[in-house]
Amino acid sequence: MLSIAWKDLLILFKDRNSLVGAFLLPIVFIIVFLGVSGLSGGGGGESADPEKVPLAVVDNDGRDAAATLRANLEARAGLAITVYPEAEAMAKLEAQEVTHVLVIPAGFTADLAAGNVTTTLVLKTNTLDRGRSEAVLMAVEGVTRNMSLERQIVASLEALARMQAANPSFDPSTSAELAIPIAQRQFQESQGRPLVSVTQAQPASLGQKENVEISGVQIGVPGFAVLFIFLTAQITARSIHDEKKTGTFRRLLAAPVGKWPMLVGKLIPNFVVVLLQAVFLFATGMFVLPLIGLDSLGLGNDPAALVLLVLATALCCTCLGILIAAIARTEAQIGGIAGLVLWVLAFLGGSFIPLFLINESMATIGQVTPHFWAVTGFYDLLTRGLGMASIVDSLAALLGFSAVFFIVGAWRFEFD
Amino acid sequence: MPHILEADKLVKKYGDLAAVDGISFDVEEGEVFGLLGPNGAGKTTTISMLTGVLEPTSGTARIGGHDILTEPKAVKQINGLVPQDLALYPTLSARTNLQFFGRIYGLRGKALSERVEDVLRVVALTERANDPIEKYSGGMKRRINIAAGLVHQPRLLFLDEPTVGVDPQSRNHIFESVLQLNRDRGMSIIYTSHYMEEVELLCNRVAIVDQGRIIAMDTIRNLIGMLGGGVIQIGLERVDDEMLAAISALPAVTGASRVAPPAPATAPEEGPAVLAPPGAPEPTLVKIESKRSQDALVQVIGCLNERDVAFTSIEIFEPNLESVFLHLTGKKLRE
Ligand SMILES: Nc1ncnc2c1ncn2[C@@H]1O[C@H](COP(=O)(O)OP(=O)(O)OP(=O)(O)O)[C@@H](O)[C@H]1O
Ligand SMILES: [Mg+2]
Repeated sequence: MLSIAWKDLLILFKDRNSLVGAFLLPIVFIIVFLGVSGLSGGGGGESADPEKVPLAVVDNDGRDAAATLRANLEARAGLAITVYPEAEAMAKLEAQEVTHVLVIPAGFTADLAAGNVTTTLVLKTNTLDRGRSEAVLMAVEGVTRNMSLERQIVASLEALARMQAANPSFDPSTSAELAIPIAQRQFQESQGRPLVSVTQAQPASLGQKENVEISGVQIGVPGFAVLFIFLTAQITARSIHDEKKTGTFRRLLAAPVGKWPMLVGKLIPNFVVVLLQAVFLFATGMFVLPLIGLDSLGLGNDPAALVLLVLATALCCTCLGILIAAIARTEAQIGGIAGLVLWVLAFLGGSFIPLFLINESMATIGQVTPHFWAVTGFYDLLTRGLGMASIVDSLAALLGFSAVFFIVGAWRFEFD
Repeated sequence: MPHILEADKLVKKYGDLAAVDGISFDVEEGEVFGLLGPNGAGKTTTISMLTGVLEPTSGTARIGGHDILTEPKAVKQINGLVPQDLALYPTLSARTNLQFFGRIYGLRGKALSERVEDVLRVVALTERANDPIEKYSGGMKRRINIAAGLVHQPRLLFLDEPTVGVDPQSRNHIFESVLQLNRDRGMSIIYTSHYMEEVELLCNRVAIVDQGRIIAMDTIRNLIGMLGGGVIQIGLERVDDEMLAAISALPAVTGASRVAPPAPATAPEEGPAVLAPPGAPEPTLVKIESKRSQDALVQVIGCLNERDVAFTSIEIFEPNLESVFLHLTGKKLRE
C-alpha cells in the first residue's frame, strides 16, 4: 500500500504539469486576482448580479473624481449606489435601513489631482454581518486602488512630458525605457502608499469592538486555496486511468495486493498533495504576498482547528477523487468534465467571491458543495479569527461529503 | 511430472461474446507451453484469468496446487506476468520500476536489491538501469517489461506476446532469456504469440486457440505430423523416368514427380518423355515427398551420386504450425 503511494508520489513529482497546476497556478491566480484589480475585476461581479449589494454614499466633494468613484463602484464592484445627504445617511444607518455608508470627503477631487495627499474615505457600517462588511470594504478598496494607480501613472507620464519639454534634446526613443521603470515605481508606491485609503468605522452602538483588519488576502487566499485543493481530486482518477492505459494496473492486479490496500495506496498521494498544497498556499499568503505589496495572510487564533479543517478538507477531496475515478473513464471525462464540474462547484461554493456578496439563493445552492463548507470554515478561522466551535458544522459537512463520496465511489469502482 | 497448472473449462463472457469459451489444459512443471492463435482468439483473456486480473465467468484453474479462485494470494506469488502492452511507469527509471514491482510482491531491503540487480543482468540492461523508461528504445522497453515480471522469482511465467514490435536483435535476446530461464532456473513458461516460428522455436507443447477454444493441443512434432511429412524440391541437370522410379523407391521417400519447368514460354509441354530439349540443358525440378525430409534427403543424394547426376538447387518445405492452423481452420494465422 505504501509502496504504491510512494511510487505514485514519485511519478507525480516528475510530472511538471501537475505540479504547476497544484502549486504555482493558485499563487498566480491569487496575485492576479487580488493584486491588480481587487475583488472588482475578478469576474464574479459580472457573472451574477441580480441582487447588488446596496451602498449608501455621502458625496461631500461633488466634483468629477467623486463621480468617477461612484460610477466605478457601481460598474466594477457591482454595488448598488444611492446618494444621500450626510445627515439623512447617518439617520438611516442608525435605523439600520442601510448597512453601509461611504463618505467621500470634501476636496477629494482636488486632493487626488494634487497627487501628494492621501485622501481618506470613511466606510461606516452598521451590521453584524461581518462577511458582508468585509466584502463591501474590499470592493471599495479595489476600486480606489485602481483609481490611485491610474492617477499616479498619469502623474508620472505628465512628469515625463515635462522633462521632455524642459529638455528638447531628450530622445523620445528612450522614453519607453524610462517610462516603464517609472510606471513600475509608481505602481509599487501606490501599493505601499495609496492616494486614497479607506477606513472602516462602526457606530459604538453595535458593540462589536474588535477591529480586525480585513484585507482581500484574507478573503482571497482561503477561497482560492479551496478551489485548487479540490482540483487535485483529479489526481487519483488520472493516475488510475494512466495505469489502466499502460497496463501497469494488470500488474498490480496480478500481484498479491488486496483491492482495498491498492485503492487506499492510490489515494494517499492525493491526500499528501493536498496537505502540501495547504501548507504551501498559506505560507505563500503569509510570507510571499507581503513581499509584493499585498497584505500578509493571518492564520487566525486556533491552529488546532485549522489543522483539523485542513485534514477534513484533504480527506473530502481525496474521497471525491475515488468518485471521479469510478465515474470518469476516459481522459476527456477526467480532464474535461470532472475539471469543469470542479470549477463550477468551486464557483457555486464561493471560492471566487464570497457567497454573501452575491445573493441568498446562490448561497443556498452553494451549501450542496463541499467547497462552501471548506471556504466557510477557513473564513471563520482565518478571517474572523473564530475558534473550533465555529467550524464544527464545516467539519461535520466535510466528513459527511467524504463518507458519501467514498461509499459511492468504492461501490462504483471497477477493478478491471 | 507434476502439473504446475491445470485449467478447467475457463470461460469469460463479455455480454454475448465468449472471449474464452471453455478452455482446459495442463502445463507440466518445467515446460514451455505455447498458446498460439490469431488476433482476438482469447489468449490474453485466458492469461488474465489465470493471473487473477480478470474473474472467470465460470470454470477455474489450479496453479501450483492452489485454486485461483479460493487461494488467489498463493497463486499470485507463483505467477509472474509479462503483459502484452508495455506495463511500466515511463517517467521512472528501470531500477525504480523493478524495485516497485518487487515491493508489491513483498520483497524488501537487501533481498529486493539483489533480485533487481539479478533481473537487470538477465535482460542485460544493468548499465542503463537509472535512465527513465521513456528514454529507452522499443526493444529495451520490452526487455524491462519482461524483467518486471521476474523480480519476485515466479515459478510460472506468463509471457503475452513479448516480442511484438521488437527488432531482431532484441528478439533474439528475448528468446535466449526465455530459454535460459527455463533451462537454468527450471521456470515453467506460458508463451503466447501469433508468430508460429517463435512458438516452434521455444515451446515443447502448443495449444492452438481460435475463437475462444482450443482446437488442437500437442507437441509441435505431433501437430505437424498430422499433416504428413515434408516436401523437398530439387533441381537436377537431367532427369529420366528410370531415375524418378529409383528415387520413388527409396525407403524414406513416399513419392517423386516432375515439376513443370519454370520458364516454359517457348517450349510448350509435350508429354513426360522429353523434358530438356537437346542443346538447352535446362535444370529440371523434381518434387520429392517424404515422411521425414532429412532422411529422404540423405538417401536422394546417395542415389544421385550413384548415377553421377549433379543437382542445381535444393529447397525444403517443412510443414509448420502455420500450415497446421490453415489445415484446422481454413484460415491463416495472421492477416
Ligand atoms: N474488456 C472487454 N470487453 C469486451 N470485449 C473484450 C474485452 N476484452 C477483450 N474482449 C474481446 O475478447 C476477445 C479476445 O480478446 P483477447 O485480448 O483475449 O485476444 P488475444 O488472443 O489476446 O488477441 P491478440 O493476439 O490480438 O492479443 C476479442 O474478441 C476481444 O474483442
Ligand atoms: Mg492478446
